[in-house]
Amino acid sequence: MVFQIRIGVKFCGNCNPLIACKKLFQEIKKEILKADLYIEFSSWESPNIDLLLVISGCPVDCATRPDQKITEIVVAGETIDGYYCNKVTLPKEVSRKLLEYQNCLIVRGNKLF
Amino acid sequence: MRTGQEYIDSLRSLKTVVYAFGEKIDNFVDHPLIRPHVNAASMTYQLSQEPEFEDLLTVKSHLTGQTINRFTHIHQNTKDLVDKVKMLRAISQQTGSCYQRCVGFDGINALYSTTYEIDKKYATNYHQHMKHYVKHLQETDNMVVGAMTDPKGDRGLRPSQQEDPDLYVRVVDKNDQGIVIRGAKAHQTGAVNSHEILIMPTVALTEEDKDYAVACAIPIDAPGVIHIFGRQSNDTRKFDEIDQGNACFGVVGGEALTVLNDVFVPWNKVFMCGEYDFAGTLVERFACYHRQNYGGCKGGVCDIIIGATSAIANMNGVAQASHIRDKIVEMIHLTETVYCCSVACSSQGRPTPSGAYYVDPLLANVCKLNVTRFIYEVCRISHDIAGGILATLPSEKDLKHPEIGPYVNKYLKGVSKVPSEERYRILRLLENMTGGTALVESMHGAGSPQAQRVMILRQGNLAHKEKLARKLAGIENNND
Repeated sequence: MVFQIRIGVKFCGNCNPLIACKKLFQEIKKEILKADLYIEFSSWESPNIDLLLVISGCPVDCATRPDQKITEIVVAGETIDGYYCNKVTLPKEVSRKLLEYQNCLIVRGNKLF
Repeated sequence: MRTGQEYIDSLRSLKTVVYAFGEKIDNFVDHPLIRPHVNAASMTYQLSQEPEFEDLLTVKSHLTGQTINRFTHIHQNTKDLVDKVKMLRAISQQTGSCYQRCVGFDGINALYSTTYEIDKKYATNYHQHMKHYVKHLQETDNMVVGAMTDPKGDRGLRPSQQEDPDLYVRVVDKNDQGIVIRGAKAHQTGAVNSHEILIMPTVALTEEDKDYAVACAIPIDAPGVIHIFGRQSNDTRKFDEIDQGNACFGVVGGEALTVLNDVFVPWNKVFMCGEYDFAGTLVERFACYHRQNYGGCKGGVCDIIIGATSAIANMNGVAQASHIRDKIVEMIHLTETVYCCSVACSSQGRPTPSGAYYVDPLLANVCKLNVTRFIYEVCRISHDIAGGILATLPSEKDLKHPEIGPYVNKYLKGVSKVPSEERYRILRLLENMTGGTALVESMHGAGSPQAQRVMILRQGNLAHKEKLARKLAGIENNND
């Protein structure tokens, strides 16, 4: 069985970013294609997202969160979930975390393949 | 919310009366003198549509619950105040120039809290007018020019003492429909490419100055309104491309002298009329909100200056010299210091009785006073590193000339792998961003340095500091 996961994407406001957030997101999408993950990206405000990918330009990570509590993977400058990660390897590392998440996923009936 | 293009298109339907260089300009939107400022202002709209900027450029309205452009928002907490500063830096990093919309933003916030307090004292209805006006701005996403500064005439005399009574804007007539105002507002940033004007008094007033205690909103093209566009250093460069430096967004905001010839204002757009004892409060609140900005907006501008300086150091082949690196460190240090000040005055903000949040006034004035000095130093260092070529570059026409161009290209070379035109462009960007008008705006925008010094002394709590010193010196009783 394969599960598709729906990921909301939230950027910070990029007031003075240490990383190129938009470019990073494009590279994450390429890594996901390579890794053959079943992922659909949508707005961070969508009600049915499984996970929130936050991409903040620096470790302050001031990006607004949605009202409902949801699992997050947070890129904040050169960190993922608080741990240092060189900006060159960020896309691969995010993709690896998404694969980890997919492997212990909550089943959603209408996303079952 | 509007897109950048929708904003630009919306200006075309206005009947704004603009004069420049002795001529009436019919198509001001596309005129080379004005178009860069239109482009800069359009970024306040355009970036609100982009996912990587929407977190700062947009916010939920406390009046309607709708998502709005932050420039039409009334600050509801310290996060809003801090996000405002971050937003300004983010936009400045994209434009390298003033985008004008913050003056109106600060005007509506200052009036929102002041009208609440006027109503409490005088049982007037100004706060309701203001709330309706803010809702209107949020729904239309209109751009407002915050019109505070009067021409002032003899600065040693009060408004009512001036030989020419029109040197400060005043009410000349009132009836049951509304009021009529006359005078002018100077240094009006972004006036010619705004939708509305928010008139405010510029000084604290006495009872004799009652007629000058007026705050109201008028359409930018209301009958009787004339805008006379101001000159800038090197403004004829706007008819060039590369020599302009920042060809897309220009330098500073594009300021005008706005004349108000007996302009009618309906009562529902009047927010103060005769309540002279609140003029000082309004001026002070507006000034502090506006001084709050400079670490953000000039922080972003300095980011570009630093980037250009670093680039030219690389192009000149001197980037690794220790004194160059140290000078760039100093530029970053000064920039982040003013940014610190903006963040500090925002994080230490507090609620007003109206519920709107206000910055820490002492720290806001410290912020702006620092900017009046530090930006000159940042620019001085950029000139130091860039070299004298900054002031002697041939024209772009020579750069592109079929016969002369090869000489310019050959002798403008820095390090061999960098094309001469790239070095030329960076030098022009630096030249235009760090000279003349840009520096003067940083000095006097949001009030001249002495105005900040007056506020700092007033807020500085000297008596308390003296008491602390006396205690430690053993002069006061320890139980005092």
